[in-house]
Parts: sequence; structure tokens; C-alpha cells
Amino acid sequence: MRITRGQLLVRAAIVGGTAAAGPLAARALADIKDDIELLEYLLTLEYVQSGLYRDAIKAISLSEDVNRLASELRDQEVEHVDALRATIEEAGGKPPDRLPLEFGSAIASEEAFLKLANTLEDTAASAYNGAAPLLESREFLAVFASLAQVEARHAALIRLAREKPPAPLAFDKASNRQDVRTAIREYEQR
Amino acid sequence: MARPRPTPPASGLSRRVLLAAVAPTAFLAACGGEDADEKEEEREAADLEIVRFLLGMEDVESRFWVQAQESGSLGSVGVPDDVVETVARNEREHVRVLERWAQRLGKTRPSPPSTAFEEIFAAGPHEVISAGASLENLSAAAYLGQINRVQDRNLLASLLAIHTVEGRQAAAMNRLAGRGFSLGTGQLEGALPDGAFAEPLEMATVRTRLKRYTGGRA
Repeated sequence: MRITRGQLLVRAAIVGGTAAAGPLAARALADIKDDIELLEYLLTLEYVQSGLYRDAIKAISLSEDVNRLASELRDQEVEHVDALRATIEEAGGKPPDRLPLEFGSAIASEEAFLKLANTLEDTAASAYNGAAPLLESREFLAVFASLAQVEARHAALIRLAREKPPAPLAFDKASNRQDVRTAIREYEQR
Repeated sequence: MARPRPTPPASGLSRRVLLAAVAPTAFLAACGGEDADEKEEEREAADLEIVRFLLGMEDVESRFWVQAQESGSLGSVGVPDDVVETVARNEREHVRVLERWAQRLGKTRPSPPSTAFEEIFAAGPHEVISAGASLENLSAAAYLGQINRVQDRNLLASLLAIHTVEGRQAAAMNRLAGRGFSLGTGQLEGALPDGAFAEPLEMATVRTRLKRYTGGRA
């Protein structure tokens, strides 16, 4: 597996690395132009998450507990979408369009749905963790962290539903935009 | 200086949550009229305060879960042994990394706080998992309360990586303790926050709530 320079920086930071890279230098490595671009790519992930819960609830006869969990998580992902869209507009940007989503066999059964939900929730928590240190605006930082914690909570609950360890690692990963694209591109209809 | 706390978000807050809920923090880096060395010292002192605070939190968590693991009693209330074992391991790792940060910033590692779990464990496994879940919620909120005060970007990345693990553990322990998804704003007892945004706590509030686990000592 190829390790990117960004991942190396994060890894070094976790174990108490030395040089403190500022957000601008780190963003240059991550090919991120500004805070709006960070908001935009996280919004695309939130679109897919909210769409997955919406479509799975319609397509699958979920067990009572899983249906309740999926409904709770869908509502929270919709709130994240609304918040990010409004913030991008407020900051002078244009929220990316929602692409049609097609989950195919991932919503053919409860087991398959939970597996994809697990992947997307883990990805979301790590995406916010990866994006937060790149923010230039400190005003967004605590909110990005707040969103990261909620996504991590979602991930843990989905993992429990799958009888998987809710917190398998002592340190959550930090993902970049390419990691997010890889996780969601299969489901976006371009 | 007290850090303005994000307004508890409500459903549909959208833009206000992101823009207005987090009031700008007065960062030391923005202070003028001081030379670079003094600013750097102030930034490191601010980070050291955060690290020492969170290390104290992690010390308590680590000891709690080690004792829970050694008690072997949580299986009787449906908590898998491997979950307790993993949480205990994670907390030890958090302590280890924060110790390194404390030593780097302050040269020494502060003494771990005293802990007192006797009453909790004497009350039986239901109380242990309930108290453990509350401790994890407290920790997640403690980290979130400090994130936008952190000066060093590497320290920030470290704390973010730990913070979401505490959130995972809080949500899981809440469910295993039989708590619902959400029990209301300010309760910090539901597996999910009441709304789509997690709730931070300031240092003073965390220290007060932590007394339950330290025999009343702050």
C-alpha cells in the first residue's frame, strides 16, 4: 500500500512528531485551495451517507433495531448536509450538486447495507479528522471536530449492530479527499 | 480566559451552527506587541495546560477500564470481554501518547490523579457499565471542548485522532449500558447527541464531573 505524504505527516503528528506544519503548507500537500473546498468535499460524502440511509430504509425490510438506528442516523446526516450547504453559500461558494446515487447490491440485504454504512461512517470520521487541521478558519475547527465525533459515534453504533469492535484502533485515521472519493465514487452516477 | 461555548444546536440550525455557534477564540498567536519567543512560550504553555488536563482524564479512564477488565463482571450484563479489553488498551495508548506530549512541552509528566472506584464497583456490573459510559461521554466532551484552543497543529492532529475514539467508545458503552440513542441536550448520556452536533464541555465542568471517579478530588 502506498502511503501519501499527507498520511506520513499525520502519522508523525500522532506519535508526537517534531515540525509543526501550518495549515497552508499542509493544504498545499493535500491539494486543497481553501476552506470552502474542504466543506465541499465533505458535503459530497454527507450526500452519499444520507442517501444510503434513505434508500436502505425504503428498499430493505430492516429489523426493528436496525431500522430505528438507520432512521436516527439518516436524520443526523440530513442535518449535516443542510449545515454544510448553508455554510458554503454563506461563505460565497456554491454547494456541489447532488449526484444521483445507486447503491445496487449494497442495499439488497440488511447485512450488505450495514457493511457499507460501516465503511462510510468510518470514512466520514476519518475525513473530518483529516480535514480539520487543514482549516484556515479557526471558527470552523470546533464544528468540524463536533461533526467528526458524531460520525465516529455513528460508526460505533453500526459496528455494534454488526457485532464488530466499535473502536478497533486507539487512534482514528485521518483521511484525505482521495480516500473519500475512493469510498463513494462507486455509488455516484456521473 | 473562558472560551465561549458553542450554542447547543437544534434541528435545522444549519448555517448558524457552523458560523455563529462557535464564537471565535482569542488565540495567543493573534496577540500583538510581543516578540516571537514570548509568543511561542505562551503557545506552548497553553498547549501544555490542555495536555495535562486531558492526560489526567485519560489516567482515570485507563485505571477504570483496567479494573473493569480485571473484575471480569461485565460479561454478566452483556458487555463482551473483548470490547472492555479493547477500551482498556486504547486508553493505555492514549496515556502513552499524551505523556510524550507532556514531556515534550513541559519536560515532566504530571502525577496521575488519585482514583476511587470502590463504590461504583461495589454497586455491581450495571453500575460499572453505566459509570464507564458516563466517563467516556465526559472524555469525548472534554476533548471537544479543547480542540479549538490547541496551538500546535501536530498536537491538534493527535487530539483529533483520540477524540473520535472517545466518541466511539462513548456511543458503544451507552448502548451496552442500555441507554437510548438520545436522552436530551446536556445529558451526555445518549449514544447520539440530541441533534446532529456533539456537545463540548469546558475544563471546570469536566473537573467537577470527574470527582465521581476521584473520590471528590479535583
